[in-house]
Amino acid sequence: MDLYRGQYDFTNFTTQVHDFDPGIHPYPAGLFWTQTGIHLGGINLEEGAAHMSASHLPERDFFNLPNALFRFQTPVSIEASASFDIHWSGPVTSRGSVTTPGTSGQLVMCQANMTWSARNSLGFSFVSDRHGTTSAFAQLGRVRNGVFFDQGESDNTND
Amino acid sequence: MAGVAGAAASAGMFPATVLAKESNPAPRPTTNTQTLNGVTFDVTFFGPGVDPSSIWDFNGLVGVADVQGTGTATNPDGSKETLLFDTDMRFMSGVYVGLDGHVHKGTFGFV
Repeated sequence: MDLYRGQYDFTNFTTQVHDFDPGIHPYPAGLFWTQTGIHLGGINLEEGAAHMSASHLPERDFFNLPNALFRFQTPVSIEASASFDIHWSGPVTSRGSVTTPGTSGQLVMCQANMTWSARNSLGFSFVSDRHGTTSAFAQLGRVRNGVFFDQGESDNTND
Repeated sequence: MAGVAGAAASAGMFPATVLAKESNPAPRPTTNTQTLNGVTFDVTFFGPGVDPSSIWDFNGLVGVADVQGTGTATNPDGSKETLLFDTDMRFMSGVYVGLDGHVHKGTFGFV
């Protein structure tokens, strides 16, 4: 969850001022920004619907994406926490097969909106506006990868 | 162990959900990688047709939400300002082979 001042800069991240994520464990070749403690409900792939939420999830504030990835600032990160509420909703705008090697499955494209809040140990806090959000990308699906990869499903769905 | 459990489940010998344990040992990172500035990370970008999972040996439901918007920040000195936000939020919920080599049920968020 990233915060920017004034305008987005997705190239050099010069305007990014906060970057909340759980880190990479172990760094750098480990679980990437992945954690437990979230709650799911109302998942309906036909309708493109789902709900995901969490309260006071432990995070780190790395301040910007380059530092989160390459860890050059001191301190690298500080303690933080975040809460969020995400709703996926229809209409489903497209359906398709997974094309990632070693993975089979189906994905649907839909819409999402989100409210969230976060704070860090320096006393900074943020509360998102409930209205005016943009769903830049929203997707739901079912996948099987690694030892669960289904070659037959992959062959059938890619015909 | 993982190969045995996974192969057996894949072959239909038993539903993976029957074997799954209700604890949450750490999952394995995805084998898909991105190398940036010479550093390799176990992660994939999301996109149409792309498995968004950050974990491997996984069978389940996934979701991705990239949402943008605005909000109110309160700085340590008490001043307030409007900031823009951008998120890459994902979930993975199903069965997976943990680092212990056993199949487990679990729900994970990518935050």
